[in-house]
Amino acid sequence: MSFDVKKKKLENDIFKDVINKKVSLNVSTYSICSDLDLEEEMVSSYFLGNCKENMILGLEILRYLEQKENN
Amino acid sequence: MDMEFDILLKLLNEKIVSLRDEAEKTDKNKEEIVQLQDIVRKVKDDPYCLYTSDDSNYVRLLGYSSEQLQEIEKCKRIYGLYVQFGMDKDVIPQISIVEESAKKIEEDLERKVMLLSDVIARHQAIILGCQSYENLLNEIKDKSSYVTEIKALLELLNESNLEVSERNKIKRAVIAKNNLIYQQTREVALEEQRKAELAKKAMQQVSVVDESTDNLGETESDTELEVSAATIEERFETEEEREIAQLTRNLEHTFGKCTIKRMQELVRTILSCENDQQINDLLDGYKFSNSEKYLEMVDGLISLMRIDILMAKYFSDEEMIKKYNQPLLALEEYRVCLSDEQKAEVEAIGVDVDGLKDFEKALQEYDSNPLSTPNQVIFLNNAVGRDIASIKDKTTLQDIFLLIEGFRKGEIRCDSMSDLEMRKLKPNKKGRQARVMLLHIDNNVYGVVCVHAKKDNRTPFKFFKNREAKGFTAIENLNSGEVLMTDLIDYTSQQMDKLVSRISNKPVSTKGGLA
Repeated sequence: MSFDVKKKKLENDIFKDVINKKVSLNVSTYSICSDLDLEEEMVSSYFLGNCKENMILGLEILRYLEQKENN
Repeated sequence: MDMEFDILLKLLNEKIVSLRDEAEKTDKNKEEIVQLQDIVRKVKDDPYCLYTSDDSNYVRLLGYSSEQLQEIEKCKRIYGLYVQFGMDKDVIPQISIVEESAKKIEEDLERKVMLLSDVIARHQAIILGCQSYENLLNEIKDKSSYVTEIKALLELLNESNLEVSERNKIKRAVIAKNNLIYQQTREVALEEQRKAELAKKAMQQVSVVDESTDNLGETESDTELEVSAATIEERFETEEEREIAQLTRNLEHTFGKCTIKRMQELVRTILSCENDQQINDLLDGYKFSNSEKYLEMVDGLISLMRIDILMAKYFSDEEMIKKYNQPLLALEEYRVCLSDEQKAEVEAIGVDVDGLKDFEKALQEYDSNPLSTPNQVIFLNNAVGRDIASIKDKTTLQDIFLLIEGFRKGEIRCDSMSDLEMRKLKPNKKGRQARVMLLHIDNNVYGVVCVHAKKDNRTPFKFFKNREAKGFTAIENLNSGEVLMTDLIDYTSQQMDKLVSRISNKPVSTKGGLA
């Protein structure tokens, strides 16, 4: 598998995880931005799939949602 | 395959063969049993049917002796007469012999059929059991899933009709085998197995053996299965193992399982980068506004790579070490650059702490009693925020002053006090976020505060140097002629004075921070 394909696949996987967790936990975009001190615009554009390639951001959101889930 | 296990397999195989033979024999008798059941039904309906029917099968099936057959023949004749002439039963005294005989035969038949039915049912169960045994044996041969299978086998043994001594024999063999495998995994396991176990050990810190004994323990209370808790301690024998466990614990503490899994995939993606530049590009483009969290994430990636390298060292996997070395170096270098950047920011934040404190104090006073505060603090409303956001160039101090000019001239409407919400300013550096407040000090006198707000409300305003945007500023209390906070490293004092005098028309003395 080429680097680009691997990257794309991982982006999609992370995105899928994030969306699934967000939906299942019913967490609002607003609370994610304010709790993580992230820009609203950036986070909502991630959820809209416009900056899916930002895997690190995706991982950060995933981490936050996982912590929320565990609590 | 090991001796004990071989014994177990042999034992089970033999058992299956013998059971199957028996079951097959019963299968052959199935037809006869069906016929017998048929006879029983007929006899129940008509006790004399045996004597009216010419079907010698009936008698043959019952396996009567020659004496009994003669008796039956006799009865048959008598009964034939009885039927033929329609004679009264009392007229023919011998009829009682027929009756008796019929009754006897009926009972005999019923007994035989019941016996055979039982045998059939039992043997059918045996056939099914044999199949389960065989399936299990096949699966047990695949060692990887043996724990579950052994458990299932033990359950099956408990349910089976095997004799107690046989059952115990098999159980003992299973337990012996289990212990043997446990020993093997600890001492002479294959590299592949050890690798998996080590990773599992570090990730879960739960003993694989414990799991297996737990599983068995549910079905088998035998003390042979108990493994001392000390073995868990023994699991971390080497420095590498301890370090791996430590790193893993830290990782699990900071990140969730799902995140770690995805991070591991990201590490693999990083490994497939062709050069350092690609790694930097991969990560650099993705900085997000919260630099602390971003750093944590990069640290997490480094930890994951270190774990992999430690594993490679543990197994002396030179190829793997080689594969990881360069990307890890690149990542660590990248991390150093990141922390340098953050350090520079922190230093910039430190500028003019006194001024900042004064400003915070003033703001707190305002917060506690906004109406009595003489100076109005005007928050930019959303419309103004959009104006700021629409400034195409970087939002520099100059842009903000242009806005103030806009307010002063009434070109931009300012809803004082009606929109008590700080407007988040579009970041003028990628990944930065600032909030802007406009201070309305007097008629046509405004102060503007551009702050980088943190989540913690107790220290809401941290000023920082924005290298790209050439400075943020906070100017307050222009009436008193003081600029409490200036962080205009890239602005000269003359430039600053000029800018401030543009809005205040007063000479301004500045304090601190000016270059």
